[in-house]
Amino acid sequence: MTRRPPLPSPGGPPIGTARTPALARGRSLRPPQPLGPGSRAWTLDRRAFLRGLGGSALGLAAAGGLLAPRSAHALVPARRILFFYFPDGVAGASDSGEASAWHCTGAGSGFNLGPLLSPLERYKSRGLFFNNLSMGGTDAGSHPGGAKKLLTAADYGNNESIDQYLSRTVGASSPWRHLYLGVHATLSGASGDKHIAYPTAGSSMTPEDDPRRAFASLFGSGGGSGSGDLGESPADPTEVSVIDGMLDDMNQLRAQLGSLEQAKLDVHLAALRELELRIKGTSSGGGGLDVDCGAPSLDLSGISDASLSDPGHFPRVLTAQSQLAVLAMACGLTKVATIQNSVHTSELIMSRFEGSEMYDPSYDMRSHQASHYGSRHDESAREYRAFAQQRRWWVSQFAATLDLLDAIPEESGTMLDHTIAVLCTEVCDGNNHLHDNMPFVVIGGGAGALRQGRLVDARGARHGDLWVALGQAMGADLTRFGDASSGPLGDVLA
Amino acid sequence: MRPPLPALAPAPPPGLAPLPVARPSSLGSALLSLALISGCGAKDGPAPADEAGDGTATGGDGSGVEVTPLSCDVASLPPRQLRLLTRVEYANTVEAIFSTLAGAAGAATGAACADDGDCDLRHESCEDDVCVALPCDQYSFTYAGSAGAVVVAGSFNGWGATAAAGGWPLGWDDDLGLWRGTFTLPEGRSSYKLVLDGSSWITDPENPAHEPDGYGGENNVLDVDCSDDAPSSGGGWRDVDPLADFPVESRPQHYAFDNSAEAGLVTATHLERYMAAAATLADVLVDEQATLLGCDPAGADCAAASLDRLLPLAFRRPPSAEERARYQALAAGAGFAVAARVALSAPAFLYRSELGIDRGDGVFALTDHELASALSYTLTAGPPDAALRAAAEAGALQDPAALAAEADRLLGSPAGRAQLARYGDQWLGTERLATATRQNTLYPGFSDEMRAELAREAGLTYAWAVTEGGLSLPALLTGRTVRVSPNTAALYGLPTPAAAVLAEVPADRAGLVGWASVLAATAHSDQTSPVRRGLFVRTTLLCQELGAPPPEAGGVPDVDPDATTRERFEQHSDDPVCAGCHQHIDPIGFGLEAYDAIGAWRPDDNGHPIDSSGALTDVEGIGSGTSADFDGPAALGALLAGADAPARCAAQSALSYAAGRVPNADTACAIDALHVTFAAEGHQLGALWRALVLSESFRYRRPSAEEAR
Repeated sequence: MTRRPPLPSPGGPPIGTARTPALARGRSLRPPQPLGPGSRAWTLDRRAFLRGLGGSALGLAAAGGLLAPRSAHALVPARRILFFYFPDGVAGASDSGEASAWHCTGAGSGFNLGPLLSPLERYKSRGLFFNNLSMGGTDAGSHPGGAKKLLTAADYGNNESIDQYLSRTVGASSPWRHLYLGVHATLSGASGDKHIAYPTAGSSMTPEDDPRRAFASLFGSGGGSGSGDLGESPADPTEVSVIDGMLDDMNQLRAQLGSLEQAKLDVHLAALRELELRIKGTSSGGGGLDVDCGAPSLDLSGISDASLSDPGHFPRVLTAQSQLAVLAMACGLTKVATIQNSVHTSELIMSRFEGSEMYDPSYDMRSHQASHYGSRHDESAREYRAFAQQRRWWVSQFAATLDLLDAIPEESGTMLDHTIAVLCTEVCDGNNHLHDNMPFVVIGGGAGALRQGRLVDARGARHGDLWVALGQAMGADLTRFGDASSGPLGDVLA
Repeated sequence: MRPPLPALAPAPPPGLAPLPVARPSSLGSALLSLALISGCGAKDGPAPADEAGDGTATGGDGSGVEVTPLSCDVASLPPRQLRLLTRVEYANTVEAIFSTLAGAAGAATGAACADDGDCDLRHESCEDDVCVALPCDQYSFTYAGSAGAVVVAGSFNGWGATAAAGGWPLGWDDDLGLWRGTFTLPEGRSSYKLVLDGSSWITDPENPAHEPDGYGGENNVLDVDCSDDAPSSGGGWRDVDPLADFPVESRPQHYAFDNSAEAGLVTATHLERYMAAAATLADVLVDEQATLLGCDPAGADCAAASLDRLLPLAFRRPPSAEERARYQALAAGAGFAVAARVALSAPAFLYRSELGIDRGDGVFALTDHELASALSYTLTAGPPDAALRAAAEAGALQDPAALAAEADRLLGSPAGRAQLARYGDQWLGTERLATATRQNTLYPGFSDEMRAELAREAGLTYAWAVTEGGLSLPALLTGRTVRVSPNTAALYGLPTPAAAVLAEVPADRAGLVGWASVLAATAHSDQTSPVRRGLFVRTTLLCQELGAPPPEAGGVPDVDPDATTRERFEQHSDDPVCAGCHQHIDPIGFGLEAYDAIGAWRPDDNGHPIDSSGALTDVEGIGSGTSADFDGPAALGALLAGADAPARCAAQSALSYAAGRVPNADTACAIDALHVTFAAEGHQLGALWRALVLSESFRYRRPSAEEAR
């Protein structure tokens, strides 16, 4: 295998290498291209590649499976989806009537970004922005209610979440169906309503907060000898015996219990199936991008046990988790990732982020504290000023993750063109907690899955419809998702 | 996973007498309905309990089997369920399995302890309530017989028979009632004897290793090998570190504990880590098969014999015939190591079974082994020990007196105390202090040490209160005994002790609301929070859940940054929409304003004088209309101690924890029943736990919702 350049280093996301918007938009007009090696060097060996073709969503779609024809011209499914969550909403329309500092003005392709979205200016023409996208009014518009609804699109979290749904459908052939990474998201006692991924209706799961453990899991602690080398070595017969024995055990138990504890054991069985694919080497990578997955490197320097709770270390950990998610996707280890930054009603002291415009070692300003900035967008008030800075910081971190995706070539574009990146939070305005006009942003998918550079007026549609649209863009056979869903949100799919 | 059903038709377990469970009072039911927060944003609160509260067992399936009717409706019981082990439970389970297999006489490194006597005295000491292995070249000699003086004489000290001659003298330990001394040994083999009163040479009764002394007697021997930095008696199983490596437990909203039955799901991340741990553990079993499993790996029957040792421990019950055959076949085909890995990743290992056996009336009674596990995991976060296993085998646990005796034994054990401490820290929410941070300019004294000590204060004090302290709940709410530590004593104005110690705190700090850990855990990094402190009393101590702010509440009004904390929060009450709820929250916190964000008394707030007059409204439930003014935590504690709601709430918390579930309307009768028993026992905290394990909801299960469908 030829050596390929490592991922960009954390210090300097290669902003300068981002494609120009014009080029990016131009590419979306290309006819769909088959998933294949093309002129790129492939990371996976040929055997894995052939498996990948057979097992990929596109392969199935071509066989008439998942992709029901939706429109006259075929949609080219995106290959990956990344959810990027931050807590406590944005500065929406204020109680005293000022316009939202987040939402865009204009219509269609002629629109201006809200001031807090300024770090996304370079991706404006490759993104979808929304007005009047609703999460409904139930549950009094609270933070917990919003976090439960966010990815499940159902009140009280009474549904599987969209990331989990996609992981077990279009992502089911990946070695890791879902990568759920957190940053200070499981500090002691954080309750389940704070976590946004739901493997089964009503129960959330906890993210992995430690990038060192996540890296070791994905790539092996030594790097290079781990699971990143998919298909390079035959399945270990001992491991195969173990997983077969475990499946046998589980099947016996399910036969005994019937419907009892079915939801719980379904999750358990899905985990067994995922591990089985990994162990037996029958996962389809579908990677083959220009990154070194044989001996991947990730800069984890400076990350210690203290980093997992010290607010001053938060930006460092977030950078590592973002890089890890992109690396795992580039290496074909997963198609679905969720990065959860802190948790709703966040106590994260963002004024301790050294080097940011929020930095103030003498005064603690927490995310949730700042979100209750009062009735006015008053830059001279400490809370509002901090809140605006914090929200812009989250957007800038999302943009830095996009930079990572956009720095890796894929076919004639970049990874971002084949990846859907979603920015989301659990309430609209942080001060009044409402669930209307949700401040979501979708960037990427420009290689044929999603429309680009548009302000979408959702006209009060429920956000489950956006998840339906993004699910279809991923090649899933999805027509409704969650409460009051009526089909894919208009103006989203290419 | 379920043991085979008995051949006989379902019948009440032998020896099961009606338990002295009190009838729920109508008062209790009334309290539950009062807990509804009217007009306060709450939705879907629990409905009032069945007024009669005596839904009798409906054994009308014509089976003709007589069963003891339940005093509450079957719906009050937890469902039949599988409960994933928490990380702590997993760690304790592995430790117990390997300690049992190794036949270790003493406690195991990592076990909870109150003093050295709870640990393996020869190889461990008790540090911060955990048994810690001595350095590999150190050994602690003990002698429990009577003597005037004891020295160790051996190859390492020239066989000096007295201290003057170079012998190592042991000192009398009053607490443990024996002679002891810890010394550093040279690398390699040493031989020694004990010398009593300078003349009587004996072999060390605590050390079974001997060799001939060349004079017709025996010398003890000790081997020291620090070359691989691994204690010779240690095990590779301790390489498995669930707390560090396994996913953090998910906790449903309004559920304070880490053992939620519903949220305990095995995701791919869990399974991957479980499988890695199982591989490590199986390696140890294979490497030390002769010592741990007692057979020669080369022998024909060793794999079968090994599984017969391992499976009952791993599954906390005998394997079924089908399981045994399947695992034997797996070992015969793929080898013992594979079978061991499967067993240590199996559902029967990973989940606690609470499926029960149908009594014939739709009520499922936990089996003997399930009951043993319920008891040990609830009270010690670990699997049944040898005594409890034996009791389960004998069917003795169906006798309430035997069950109560086992509960008392476990509560007083080191593992029981450790679990009480964890329960206390989770119940009161003080565990979050472990990762708390404080604004350095305001709280320069908030060191890592203080943080660590504060994070353990409440739990350890609670564990003491339940056991040696023998406290009642009112005494916990008003008492002055707190476990203070070198870095926390100053928070109470107490002199700094050399080590953690139970101390009398000043009278104005009396009661758990005055504990520094509680006051700190309900504050922010740089300021107090009357809202958090008020919510702590409402939700944790009174079990009154307040709903989310209503949508029309809008945002928090603009605040004056130079005002006192109280002045800023009082604006909640100026807004009628906010006041609906905050009138019941903030005034509680206002009464605690004299204590800062690390739980120390403060003379002023932001340079302004402090007004710490508070009010506790509607203590028996929102809408009950009572209101009492107070100033300071001691006065608040006295108000709470005189009310009924905290006792019912304590019963509800313990019952929820044991069931692994958030209570709902159906659970009310069970909570009321426990509440009544608790009251009859004078609200003794130990009695609450004993009553809990005797309660119907501890021993019986209802069909799950899926089954009922």
